[in-house]
Amino acid sequence: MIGREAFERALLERLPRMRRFAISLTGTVAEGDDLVQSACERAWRRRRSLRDPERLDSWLFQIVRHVWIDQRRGPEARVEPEDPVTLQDLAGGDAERELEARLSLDQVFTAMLDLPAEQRAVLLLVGAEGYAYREAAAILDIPIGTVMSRLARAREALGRMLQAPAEPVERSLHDGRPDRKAGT
Amino acid sequence: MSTGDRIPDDADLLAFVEGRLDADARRTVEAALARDPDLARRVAAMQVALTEEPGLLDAVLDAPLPDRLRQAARGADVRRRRGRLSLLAAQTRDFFDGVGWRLGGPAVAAAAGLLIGLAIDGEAPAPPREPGYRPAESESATSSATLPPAALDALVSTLESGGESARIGDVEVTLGQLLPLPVDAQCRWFSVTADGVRHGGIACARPPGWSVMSVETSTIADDGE
Repeated sequence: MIGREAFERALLERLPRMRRFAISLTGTVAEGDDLVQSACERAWRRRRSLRDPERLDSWLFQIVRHVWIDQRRGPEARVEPEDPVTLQDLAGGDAERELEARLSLDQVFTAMLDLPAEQRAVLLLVGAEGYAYREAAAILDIPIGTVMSRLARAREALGRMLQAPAEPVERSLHDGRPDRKAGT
Repeated sequence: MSTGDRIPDDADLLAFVEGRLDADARRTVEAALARDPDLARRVAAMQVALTEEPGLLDAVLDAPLPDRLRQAARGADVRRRRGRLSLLAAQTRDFFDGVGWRLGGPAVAAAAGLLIGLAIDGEAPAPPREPGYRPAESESATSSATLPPAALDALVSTLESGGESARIGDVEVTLGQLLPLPVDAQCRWFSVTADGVRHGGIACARPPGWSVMSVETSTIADDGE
């Protein structure tokens, strides 16, 4: 079992990657950070269940995913705010908002938001984190064949969006999905 | 993968774009792509995505981490919330009892419960943490009596001005809204930083002015740990 100080240090080191995975799931920085915070709390509570410290990375990603699923199912599921936050609201502000603004200008991220969250998760784990299909399947608790089919669909859809001429996009951060506008 | 006219499946296409096929299998996929323009377009799109994947959301890795996440990673969050629970429960009860408002027991309990709930589940009552925040030895044991005069003056001044933040001398004040209470009380959370010490808590308006209901105090360390 990993000691308390070592666990704290390891968790701090992995926060940016947990955050990236969480944001890929939720689609927004604020919700992703909420998710990471809850995941850290759960990780601390379940620290003793981590038998193999070598598997800490995938264990943490699994926790992030499980918390995300629980939040979507449970009473904590978010109610969409009445007034969606738009780019105009994002000038300045705190670090979360600045990151949200940066991501909203990221063509790949905004295109990625058109994919189902399950496909985004596979894309992030395999494409960015470099996990083998089998490892990604274990983290996501799905068959390896599902990993491959989701990855193929995600790559195809993302690639088509990136190949297409840029369309004006107004981000609606309340649901993490862009509202594409016709014309202008 | 066998040669011939077989249509490559997802595994074949993924292996093709990732360059994991041997020469024979690769030629088979290439032959299929030559026969089927739709398949060729699919693979072209996959190749475009593949080039972007290593940099997906890189901006997140480079961004400063919110202190609430650092605190959560340190395992401090649960403990801090528990500490606030008893403090707010007691001080909220004292406040509503002490001011002599003509309220029934259920209304007082509802108000107290709401504030306690906010302290546990919401973010508003928790004072913002700076990188390097280190809990004081007795984080939740302070009361309004320990708010230094300069900090209290700056807080009251900012509350009365109706602003969201102010810097008065060396004192920084930040205010935020709480959810409406089920009683006739206007309350706000506050964070006041003075002399390297941060005081966070809740203040409520009551005639003739504002009253600090609860305070927790933290020191601001110079580094991350």
